[in-house]
Amino acid sequence: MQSNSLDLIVRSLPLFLKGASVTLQVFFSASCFSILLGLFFGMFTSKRLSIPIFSKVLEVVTFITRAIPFFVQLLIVYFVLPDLFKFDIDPFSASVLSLGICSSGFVAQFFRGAIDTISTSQWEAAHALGYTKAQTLVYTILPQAFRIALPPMNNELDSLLKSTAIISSIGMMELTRVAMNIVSREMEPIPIYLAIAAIYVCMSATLNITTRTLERKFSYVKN
Amino acid sequence: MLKIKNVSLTKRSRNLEVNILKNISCEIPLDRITLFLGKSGSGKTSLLRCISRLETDYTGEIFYHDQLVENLSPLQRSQTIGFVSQSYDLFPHLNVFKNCSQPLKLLTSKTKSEIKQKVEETLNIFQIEHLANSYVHELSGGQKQRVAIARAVVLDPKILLFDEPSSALDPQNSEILIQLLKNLRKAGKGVIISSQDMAFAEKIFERAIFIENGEIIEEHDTLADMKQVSKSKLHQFLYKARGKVNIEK
Repeated sequence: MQSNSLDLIVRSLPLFLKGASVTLQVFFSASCFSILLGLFFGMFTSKRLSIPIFSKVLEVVTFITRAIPFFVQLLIVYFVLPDLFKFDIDPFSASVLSLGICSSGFVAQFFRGAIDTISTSQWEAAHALGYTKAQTLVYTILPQAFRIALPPMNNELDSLLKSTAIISSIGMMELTRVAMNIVSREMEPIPIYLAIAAIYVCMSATLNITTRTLERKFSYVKN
Repeated sequence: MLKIKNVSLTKRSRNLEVNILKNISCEIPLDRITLFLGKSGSGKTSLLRCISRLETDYTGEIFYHDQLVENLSPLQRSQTIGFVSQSYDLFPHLNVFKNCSQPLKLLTSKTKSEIKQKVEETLNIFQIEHLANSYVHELSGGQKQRVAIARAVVLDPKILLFDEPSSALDPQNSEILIQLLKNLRKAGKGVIISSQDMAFAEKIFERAIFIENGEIIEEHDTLADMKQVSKSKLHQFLYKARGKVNIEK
């Protein structure tokens, strides 16, 4: 029985790899989208960079993205929006878009908090040196804010990685969907689901090591 | 010459209006170190902040050689007025070298090697070349201050403003600072200092303006004049404070 299970896992490896590759593609694309969108939202909802009405609108948008469950956002992006506005969207784009938007609400909070944490005197020091607002932001504030936002971002990216399993519901052949297909064909759920759990653990561990390395790289205070 | 003409600054906090500076006018010759003396909360730091354009909502005019300071571009301003704050405000994510080289990189068209040379020269002048690779948290208070001055000087401004420069220094670093400030003046820089430390003020005295409740109440051009002629309450307070410190020591 055990040898059969092992044999099944080995036979399924190429499919697992294919599924994992799709999972990673969605994860990386959605992470980039989420960080860029979250940074934009975070900057313009921070105290120092807020623009009266615009920032209020962004605050509402980020609240909505955080309030709606990811699965519902996925269904809206894949089924509701194309129907309302008469356009086609493929499952990959819908997955990246909905994952990115959902996660950006949280990333925005981390960046907003981090930017607000930077002392006003840092803005003033850059201003006194003659930096423009954009130069101050890029060279003085964001490098410091990024360091502060990294640890909570690590958690958010980890959660985003695991949320990719939900995109199987719109037919994406990612890791979980591949496993479900194998199980329905082979009727052997235990080894297959345990195997993909192990693959998720490996991916999560790699992500953790990468973000920890980044945290160390950005940390100028050596403990 | 720096000319301050009818400068007033009002801040609003909740429903309260506070007049921080009240119609201040004075002329500051740049060939002498000028001290703004007064108690904390008197408005001397606010006046420095107005000159350096960290406060922009003041009324009145500030001229540098007949040029309105508020009309200067950021680059022109940084090459005219340098500001060293009381807390130094170095960039903690950059090492000492980069703290000094970044303004040159962002604001001037100097090449990489020119920037390196300029920063190394400046660090040498302030005897902090050995700290080039250190980060801010690794520096002592005196070292931080010298780095902050070096960062302001590297852009070659005509005037340097110092907010309470002696407040966090031990006697030895205070002496080093006095020498540095005198050297800067000798190098042709206008030096304007806000302070409430009369012992420090006497050592560096060349010209003093006393400020109280946002108004100029006295100006002195000689130390003897400052020490003997004035009988104002503020003057007595500052000297008394100094006496108290001496007694405690």
